[in-house]
Amino acid sequence: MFENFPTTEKAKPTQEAIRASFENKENEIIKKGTDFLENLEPEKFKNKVANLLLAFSLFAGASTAFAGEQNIGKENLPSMGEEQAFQVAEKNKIAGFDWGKISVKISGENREIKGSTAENIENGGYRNSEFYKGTTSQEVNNALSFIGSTISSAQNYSQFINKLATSQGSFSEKQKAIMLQQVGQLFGETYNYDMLASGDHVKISEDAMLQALKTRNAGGTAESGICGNIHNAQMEIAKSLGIEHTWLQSGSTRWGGQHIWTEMILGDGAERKIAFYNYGELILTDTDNYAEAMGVMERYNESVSIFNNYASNGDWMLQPVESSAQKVMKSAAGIEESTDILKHNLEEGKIMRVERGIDVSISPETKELEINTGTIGLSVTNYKNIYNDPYQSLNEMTAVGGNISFGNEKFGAKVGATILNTDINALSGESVVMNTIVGMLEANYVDEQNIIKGEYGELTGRVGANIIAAVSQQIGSTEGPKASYTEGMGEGSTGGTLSFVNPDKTNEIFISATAGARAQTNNFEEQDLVFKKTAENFVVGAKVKVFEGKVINMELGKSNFDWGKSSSLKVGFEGENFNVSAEHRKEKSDYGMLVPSSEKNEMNVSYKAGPKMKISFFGAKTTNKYQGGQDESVISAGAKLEVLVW
Amino acid sequence: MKDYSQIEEVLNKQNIPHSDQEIIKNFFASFSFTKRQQLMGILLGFPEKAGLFVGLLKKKIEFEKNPTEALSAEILEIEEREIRNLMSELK
Repeated sequence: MFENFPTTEKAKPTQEAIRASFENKENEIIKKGTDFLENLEPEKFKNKVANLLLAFSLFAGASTAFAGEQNIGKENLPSMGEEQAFQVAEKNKIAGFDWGKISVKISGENREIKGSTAENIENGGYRNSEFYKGTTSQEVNNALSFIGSTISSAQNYSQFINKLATSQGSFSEKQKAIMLQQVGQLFGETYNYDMLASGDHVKISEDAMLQALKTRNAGGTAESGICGNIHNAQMEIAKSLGIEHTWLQSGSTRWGGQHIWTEMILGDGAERKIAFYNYGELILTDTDNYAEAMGVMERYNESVSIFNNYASNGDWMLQPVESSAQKVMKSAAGIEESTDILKHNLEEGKIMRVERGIDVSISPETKELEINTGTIGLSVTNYKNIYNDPYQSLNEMTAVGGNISFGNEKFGAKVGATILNTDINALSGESVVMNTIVGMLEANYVDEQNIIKGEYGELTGRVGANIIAAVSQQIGSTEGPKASYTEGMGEGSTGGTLSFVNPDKTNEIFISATAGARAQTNNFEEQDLVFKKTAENFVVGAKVKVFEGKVINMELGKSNFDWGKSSSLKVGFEGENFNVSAEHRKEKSDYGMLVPSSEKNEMNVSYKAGPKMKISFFGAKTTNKYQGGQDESVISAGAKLEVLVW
Repeated sequence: MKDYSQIEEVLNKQNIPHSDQEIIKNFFASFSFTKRQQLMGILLGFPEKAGLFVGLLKKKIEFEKNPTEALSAEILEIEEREIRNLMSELK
């Protein structure tokens, strides 16, 4: 008998072995592509084919991973989620590759120091290339080499910051600007989209931010935080590099809604300019006027925020700032300061309503028509940037609004809504048409009591309160990228007045005090809601009847605001058919970089042409001065026609 | 930020059948937000390659369900050819 020997037939590979073999071979193929890319000359990365090679390599690996997930029977795939975010380097068609060292080469196209190559856009409002003119490649390399080695060698955040602070004297301001671009670019590549998607606003520790920066600097993949965290870190690095005036600002963008970026003053004397950093991109304005610079940034962001413009350097709570466009839009939406509304109500001792009739207001840039029935108000406002002001982000705006008022002389409420159609003069040269709806709710209370009434006269006390809340909903541009997002504001004020009138009612003396507060976020990282005291106003005034029908009045006011102090003197002369008044107001800002100190002289003349018609003219000259800047004068004038038709 | 509606627009323009579009959607949905954004960037950057990407995805799913040497060789051949062609274009 012959024994049965085992056969020598080759065993069939198992499914696991086939899979393993496939993955090994696929990895080799992908590696060929990525090795090739690693050794490719830098200029070849401008070729779309290089991007496609990387894209295909990434897709090959990702698709195998996905197919493997399918095989293990994973049934509950994560939902797509809410995907509204500011996209770093959105303008790059295939931006955002972040997988491994090789992808850095591709995104390196974004990393070029844009200021050294960008063209002047127009009117000197955006001059990156001018800024870096004269900077040698040696200086650029030294700056990049220093920041790179400092990041990689730092053991912890304090060591990192100390090294920057002790070495900053060896670098020019332009070299520091380059370092900040590089840091912003690296941080941008660690943007944490998961944090954004989940709506988390948390402070990220300095060491965690540094760790993400180190990993990215070494070519690895890391996630840090979102715009507030990243730009806060960039601002702190700017401080360490000896940039004296730097802070963060919030606002909005056409692409992703609310956003936060870094700002600073660069240059001295006549060269002193406000610059913005949006991650690695430097946007250098040619102005040190904050409101003007905000206009440039709005044109860059292609969006105007009505309620979300705040600034802070981390040492002080968020401070509201205002651009020209924002002012125009707020006014068209009927949003006023809470303390101003209360002050008028207290002066009159009743809730002030717009008189029934038709009002037409005309100034060179703005035309406004209002129709009021006493309960219902309708308004149309048209604004045109007729002087082609490069710092005004609006080309044009048309706003249509309506409001309903109800209540009595003591209690009142007003509900209003305005649709604003804005045409933004984007830095890209595009004309961006946006639509915004603003809803507003206002509640008022005023009460009056006679405290003393005797032979020497009458002492009356008034107390009042005002609350105003508004929400704006950006409903996007008519074409191109758009984001739908909401902003809100809430303010309240309370106060009182004491007035004394002599027995024959020819003289009146009054004192008035009001205080206001605003609901806002506390800082740019955690963004917790807090109430901040915004204003304390104190006014002393008198009215004297000089002869029959003619009254001279005078008011002296002092105010403390969250941004500074103001004092005012107002003198007026009233007759039966006319009213002339002049006001001098002086404001001293505590945040001179953001809000200018100013002096304003204003004159108003109004004439009643019969019982149903009133014509008013006004003119004002305001001199503004930002900290360290020059005096700038603004002259404004306009006319208003009020017709009572019912 | 890329919105998935942009992907649907590309897939529709490339006449990718609805059933295949579901595969692509599942593919994107299986990654974290960040990586999903990056992968969406690839498809949006190269819409002309949507058919190739969908085809490869389908083959890989089929391979995972029933791995054969023939299918493995077919997929690897497609990937190698694509990478080789792109490399030669860059040389």
